[in-house]
Amino acid sequence: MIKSILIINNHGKPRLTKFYEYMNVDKQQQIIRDLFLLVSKRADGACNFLEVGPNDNIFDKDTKVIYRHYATLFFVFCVDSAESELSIIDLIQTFVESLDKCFENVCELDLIFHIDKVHYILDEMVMGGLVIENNSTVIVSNYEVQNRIEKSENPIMSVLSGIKK
Amino acid sequence: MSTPNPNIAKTSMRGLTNFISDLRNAPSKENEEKRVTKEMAHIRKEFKENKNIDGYARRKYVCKLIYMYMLGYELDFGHMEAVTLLSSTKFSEKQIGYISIAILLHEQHEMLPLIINSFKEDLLARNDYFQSLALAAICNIGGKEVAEFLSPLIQKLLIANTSSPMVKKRAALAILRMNRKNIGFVTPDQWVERLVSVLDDSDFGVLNSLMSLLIELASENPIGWESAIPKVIQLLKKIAINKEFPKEYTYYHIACPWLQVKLLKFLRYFPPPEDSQGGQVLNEILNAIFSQSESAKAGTVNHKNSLNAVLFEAINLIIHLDSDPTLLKQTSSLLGRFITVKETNIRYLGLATMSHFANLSNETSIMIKKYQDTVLLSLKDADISIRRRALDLLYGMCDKNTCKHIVAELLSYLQTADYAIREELVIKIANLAEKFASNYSWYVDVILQLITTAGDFVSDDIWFRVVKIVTNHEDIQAYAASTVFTALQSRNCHETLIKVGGYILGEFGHLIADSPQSSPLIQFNILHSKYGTCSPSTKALLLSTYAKFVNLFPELTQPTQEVFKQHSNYIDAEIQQRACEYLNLTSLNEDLMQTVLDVIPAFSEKDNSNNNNINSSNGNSQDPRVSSGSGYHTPPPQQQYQQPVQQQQSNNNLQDLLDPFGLGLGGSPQPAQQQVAQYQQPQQQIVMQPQQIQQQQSPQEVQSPFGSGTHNFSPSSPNGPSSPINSGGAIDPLQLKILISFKRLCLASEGVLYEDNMLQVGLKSEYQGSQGRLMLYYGNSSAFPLTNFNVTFNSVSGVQLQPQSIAPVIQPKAQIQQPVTFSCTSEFTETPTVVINFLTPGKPITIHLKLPIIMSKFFDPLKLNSGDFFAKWKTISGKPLEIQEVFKPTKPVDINQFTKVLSDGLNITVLKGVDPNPNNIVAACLYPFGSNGQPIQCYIRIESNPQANMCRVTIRTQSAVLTNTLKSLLIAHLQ
Repeated sequence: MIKSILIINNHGKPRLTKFYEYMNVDKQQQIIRDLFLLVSKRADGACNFLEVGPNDNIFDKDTKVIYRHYATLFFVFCVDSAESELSIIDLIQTFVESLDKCFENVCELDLIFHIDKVHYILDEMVMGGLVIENNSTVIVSNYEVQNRIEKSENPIMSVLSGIKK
Repeated sequence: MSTPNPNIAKTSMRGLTNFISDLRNAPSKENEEKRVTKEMAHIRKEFKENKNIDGYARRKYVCKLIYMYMLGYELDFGHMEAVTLLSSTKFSEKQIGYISIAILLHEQHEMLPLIINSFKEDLLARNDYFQSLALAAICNIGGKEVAEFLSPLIQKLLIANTSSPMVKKRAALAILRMNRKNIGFVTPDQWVERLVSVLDDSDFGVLNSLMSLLIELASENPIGWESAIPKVIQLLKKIAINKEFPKEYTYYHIACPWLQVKLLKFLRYFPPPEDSQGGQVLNEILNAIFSQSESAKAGTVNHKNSLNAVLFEAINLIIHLDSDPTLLKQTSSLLGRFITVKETNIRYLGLATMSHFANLSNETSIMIKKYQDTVLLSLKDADISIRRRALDLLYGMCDKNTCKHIVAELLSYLQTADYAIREELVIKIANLAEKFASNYSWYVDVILQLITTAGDFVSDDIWFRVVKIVTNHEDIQAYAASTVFTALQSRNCHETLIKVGGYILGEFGHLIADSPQSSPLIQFNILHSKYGTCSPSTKALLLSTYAKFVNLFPELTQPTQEVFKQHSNYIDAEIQQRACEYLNLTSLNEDLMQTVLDVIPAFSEKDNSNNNNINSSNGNSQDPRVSSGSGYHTPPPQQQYQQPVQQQQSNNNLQDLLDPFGLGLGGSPQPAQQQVAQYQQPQQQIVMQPQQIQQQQSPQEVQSPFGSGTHNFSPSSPNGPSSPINSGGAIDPLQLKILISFKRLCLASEGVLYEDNMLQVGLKSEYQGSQGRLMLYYGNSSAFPLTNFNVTFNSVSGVQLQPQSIAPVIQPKAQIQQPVTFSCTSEFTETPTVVINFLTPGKPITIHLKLPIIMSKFFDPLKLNSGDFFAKWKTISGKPLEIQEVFKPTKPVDINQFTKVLSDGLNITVLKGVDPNPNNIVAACLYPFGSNGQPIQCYIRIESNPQANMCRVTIRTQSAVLTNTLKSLLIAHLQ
């Protein structure tokens, strides 16, 4: 099971945080900080898996950190031993590709200003720490349908985007 | 990747964008906080006062709240608005509502019951998107109630032909999640047929989710789910051999890697297929997967990744099946290739998998021997993840023939290894050295090298073990003595080396005393030259060594007695006491001295249980007789070393004494400082020793129902070598009081933990989920300030304590508080402890207390009806999962009292009406944090016979540890 999904930028600022186990805000922030320290100091060629040591106060013992670094962002997934490491690596890739398609060439600012949308996309992919879909075509098409519904419900916006087109 | 997409920016909410820009532009954290506070006040006001707030504004505000929450700002409002949004009929409002409750609420949240009905309405709505949102929310935060209320509906959604794939795949995961919260609700007899029928679905997304569900169910208990196997194999064949799959599920030229991984993984929970046909098909599939491995050498990173994901899963399955020799051979060479490739990820997984492979059988471990050099090379990799795996693998690869080479490599690696891995490395080297030692002199060399290179990481267990082995093997004693003697010559000795050196020279120094280079005086001088910089416990140990010297070398009487005299007023009580005792012992009576200070006899082989200590990587003692808290490891050296003194006093009882206490190594330590005030007359100690021996012979009597840990409290603990004489072996009243307080607090959430005429320690506790919080209150009841006040918390495996720091002084009649938070991550058998140290005018005080943090504090209720209970009860039997024990209560049996203790004190659900006999109790509880991360259900039956005043408890759980702990708990509190 996936315990948390985080996107953290090169300066340690969270850009997306999603915890699938409840924990209070302070604990969440501590985990974000600690994880950032762990992944940010690793070399580029180092492997994408990190074992949580007994002294790291990050979830429980049965936790593996799987991350990828894209330009200014770290995508950090904490998972338990039931997950296949390489599948999670692929899942991160799927997530990035989906974001890229939805935002047409995604950048950090897109994530910052469209936090709601990032969550919608994530929810198409993972829920309750379990993977629903790894096919980015399906993820993106669901997202687009929802976007259209939203626009039809908010006519002002659809007019605006109509003008743009 | 620089500018946000203008197209999307247009469609979003301007207020939100502005707010986020403000926060981003905030020049400092303070400015950001100010902006957040202002915005929160604004939103709070809007929510409270603006009756006509529209959906758009509500959405905007909730988005802002989510953003602030992400940045780490606590939210104490806005939940209601999220719920309002969620019950809207507009999709856009509903969607943000669902997103925000998934972020802000959790399964125990008080608001959750309010939205169960909204979940239901959305599940019933004929709208895929509404249904999907509700299912996702259930999956994210649904608890037990949600599971009970909505499971039939969700089951229908999974099976119904009318459900779209998008709904079905979410329904499968929602069921998985509900099953986790309400273990056992998905039973094979009711579900297997339906779930297997879903395997015919043509949508690969649905199959993927369904496989997640089936894997979860099989991992809980594979029995009953076998009928899915043929279809799973069929599906694999379709994908891997026939290449029939939807094109859109090709990921970087690999056919649906995720689904393949899951299908393969599912099969790992079952024995190899019995029918030869199934086995043959499976072999074909695995061969087909292997045949693609060549293409993993080329292609993009993503292509290689997903291909290897499938390969590794196939390898895991082959290791599990352990049947086809050709496949095993291929696996071996494939793994051999993996550990040399450039991609670190693959190297990492290759090493990890090779570890499993090596442990499979003799044949497999021989197969990978040839990769030893590569693995040794990986030990020097730049990446710690790789180094860890390599170390693990080497440890598994080691055998009689290779151990010397591997240990030598590990030792040389130790010199440069970083701190993160040193402790593990030291334990592993010590283990290997002992396990494969063909001669013990090599072993002694290895351990000494360990101490020299990484002394800080050599736990007491390890050096106790050397001492014991040397004592038990006459042939190496002289060698050991001369080796430590040489090692001690070095100017910078690690303190552990001084301890080992002190001990070994004290016992066996005479074996090398004939040589002029290591004459008695030189031995003494070299040890004493280190004395000044040692910690008190080592000093105490050295004093004992000197006493031993006196016995063997009369010429040392004068210099050693000098030392004893210097210390007869020493500030540390233990040292002072020893100095006084030894001074008297060495000057009073030669016969007594000779008896007392004779060479230590060989340790009983039964003490080998201590071997486990070294073997268990956390270094925690596994001997139940040894103290429960790892924090008690501090004083053992002196005790351990003092042992000979005591044993000689009672030579006849030697064996008896050794065993009941597990003396020897890491033996029950004892808070030395508590004896401070009591110790005044050293002579008395010696004169009255026979009495002490008497005490020692009845150790079991002072054992409390809590077994292991109790003697920690007892300053009169009979194991203490220098323990002052206490009247007749009874427990000190203060200690009894501590015990009673502890026991009471095991059942209650607040009360007094400790009280004497100086200090009162009160405690309040609260538990929620895996989190617990203690508030400790230290009250000074004396007339003077308590200074240097310091509390040390000793966590145990499974419960990590995080205390806040406190002020070092408590003024008279004042009280200070200390919050301690902790979380429970697995079963735990030991009890966390605290050591309170402080100074009163004139003397230091040390108090050792156990904290009433026991497993039952984390129990969740478990309501079962009679049928369910017995169905589950019957699935477990036999030791160690089942334990039955008869006990005799000290008071007449009172079933109502028992019920009260169980339900109010121990959080165990008493199930009424399950057992028709009114004298019996049937109960159950749920321990949410098993070591595999799964909750464990516990079933309890207590039968009583009021006439005979006897009771019998029977406990059945899926965890031997839990069963045993539960038994001790129940007996302790019901007796």
